[in-house]
Amino acid sequence: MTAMLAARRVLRIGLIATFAIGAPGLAAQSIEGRVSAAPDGIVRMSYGTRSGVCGDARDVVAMGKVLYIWPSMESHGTWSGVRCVPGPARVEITKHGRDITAARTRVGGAWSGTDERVTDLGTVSAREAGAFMVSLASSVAATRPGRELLLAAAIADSADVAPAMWTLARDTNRPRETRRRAISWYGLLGDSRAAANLTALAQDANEDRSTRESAIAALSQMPDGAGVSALIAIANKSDDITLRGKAAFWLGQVDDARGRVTLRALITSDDTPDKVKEEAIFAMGQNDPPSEDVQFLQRAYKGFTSEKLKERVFFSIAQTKDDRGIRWLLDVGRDAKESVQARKQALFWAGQSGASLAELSKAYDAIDERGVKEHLIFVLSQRSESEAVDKLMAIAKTDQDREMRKKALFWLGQKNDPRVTKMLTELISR
Amino acid sequence: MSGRLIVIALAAAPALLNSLGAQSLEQRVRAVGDGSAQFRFAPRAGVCGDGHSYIAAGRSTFMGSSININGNNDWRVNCAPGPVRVVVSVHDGAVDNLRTFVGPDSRVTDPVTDLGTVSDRDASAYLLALAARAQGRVGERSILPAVLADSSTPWPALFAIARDSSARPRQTRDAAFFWLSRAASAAANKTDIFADANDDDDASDVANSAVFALSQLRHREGIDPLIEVARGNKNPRVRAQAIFWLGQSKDGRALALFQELIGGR
Repeated sequence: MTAMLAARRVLRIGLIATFAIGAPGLAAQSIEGRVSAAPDGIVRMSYGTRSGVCGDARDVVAMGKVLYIWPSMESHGTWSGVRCVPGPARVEITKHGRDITAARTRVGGAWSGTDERVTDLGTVSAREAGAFMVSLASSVAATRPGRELLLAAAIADSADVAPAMWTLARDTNRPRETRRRAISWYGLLGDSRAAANLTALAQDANEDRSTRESAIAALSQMPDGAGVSALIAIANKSDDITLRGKAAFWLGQVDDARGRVTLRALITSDDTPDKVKEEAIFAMGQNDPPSEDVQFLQRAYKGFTSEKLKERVFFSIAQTKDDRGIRWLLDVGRDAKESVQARKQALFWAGQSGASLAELSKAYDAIDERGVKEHLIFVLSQRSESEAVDKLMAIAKTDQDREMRKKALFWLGQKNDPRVTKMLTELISR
Repeated sequence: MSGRLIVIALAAAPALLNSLGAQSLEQRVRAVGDGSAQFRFAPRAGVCGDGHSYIAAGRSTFMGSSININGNNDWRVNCAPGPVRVVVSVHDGAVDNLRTFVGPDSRVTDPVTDLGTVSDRDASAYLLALAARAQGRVGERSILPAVLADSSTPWPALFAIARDSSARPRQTRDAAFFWLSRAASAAANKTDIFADANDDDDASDVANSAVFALSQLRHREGIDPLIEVARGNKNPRVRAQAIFWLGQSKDGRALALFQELIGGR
């Protein structure tokens, strides 16, 4: 009896041991343990992603307005024209001993063949993967794997990685680029406390400037405009003019009425330093602004004496590609009461923003000032349409001003148009 | 058998003598070992200088490696005729720097071995041989005094340099093309190589801009039209411009034209 009991106990222990050592036991082991136990080479795993995450199975990974294109492109804001479909995260970690030498995060698709040794962990818990990835990112010294691991953490479904991101963001022993990424993800994933935390970081004079500016950018990433009030406060009140400018810039990136009102106030206030105004003017031209903003900039222009601010207005309006804005640029270019510098800049940006060749041509014929005319020849030369060559050839052949003819000839020499060779030859043999 | 050898030897004698003359200057320079040497020779007609900073000929001015063609000459108050003086720096028997002066001898502060006056033909031959083999800027700098030498015919040697696009420093080839274009222009317009065709006028000014535009066209579409202008345009100034820009193109078709224009000059 005793012997039987002893035998049963041994069996039970044996079964327990089998359960622990066998395949089901591997699944119960942590991702960290499995990665640690894997031999040198590539460790692969996949897991579910948050809502709003998509990718192209290769280089593109996007989450909301954040778009990554491996290896180095990162965009915050509206994007289009990129194939991006929802799918699971596929993460590859390359390990050598205890070191993580590379990491790569993809969304969707299937693994491709490789000559390297591969340990495939299969599908793992997204929540655990998120925590593991941010923890691993905290320990790697190299910037690129750190960035990929933070991306892998950020897109993991249901993973509460924001607190760990914030810890990493404040860790001055981590590489600056890794911190910058952690700050950015914290803005996107953090809760209601994030705005206050990021504001404090932005205003921390002991931090380096790029980290502080990253905190301002992260405020603009916060969902539902949660960081807008903080951005407005920094843009209006910070003692640091550069940070005020950065806040104004990021206000232009968020689609929020409060941000637009603030930008207008900054642009028109006599108390706003020009450096901040420049950023505010630039910001107002971003993200396809409404026509009222374009008209606002035109009105504000009248109050500026600084050529730099005027130039910013031209640039900002040119960015909008607004038809009325382009016509206004042409009007400034034709206006003899404006400074020559302003007229040149206005015409340059009109040309760059798609003013019609007919309008530019008309402007050339209407302008008397030689410096402006000469600049308009350059503007015409920068257009690729054959009508631009037509106008340049006409100037070269018939303009009353010999210097204008010579300028047109110079730029015609830079054109790749068979008509130019013929025309030059004819002109020389006259 | 022996009669044939004598004939060959007699036929070769003038070339041999010339060669010995050039060799002699080369040997004398090499014999300096380490240091500086200078020699003088007669310039072409119309060449002058201030003895230390510039050389002028016709409406062209040469200062160091810069050339100003057709410039304002009013400032040339101290431009005096005189022999061409070439000062070479020698290191281990090889020339590693070369400077050219015309006009009064400037005061020499550093010790220099004076090789005296040599024949302009010998000087030109030596300098052209140096241009053909020298590395660095010496090759380019050797060409100006070779061209300045009175009664020299540097064009065959310059054609050889211009045709060799492989091993030579780029600047040496550029200088060869430049001087060949000057010679071709002089031949086309029946002028001296330092002379310029005419003063500016409105018509040629615009036409010259068109010539320049032709020279800038991508894919070298302008080369053939420029050759036509160089051959047949009525305005000598426009012809000269076309030839100048053909020289700058370093195109084989330009060299063929230059050969045709310079001919046996």
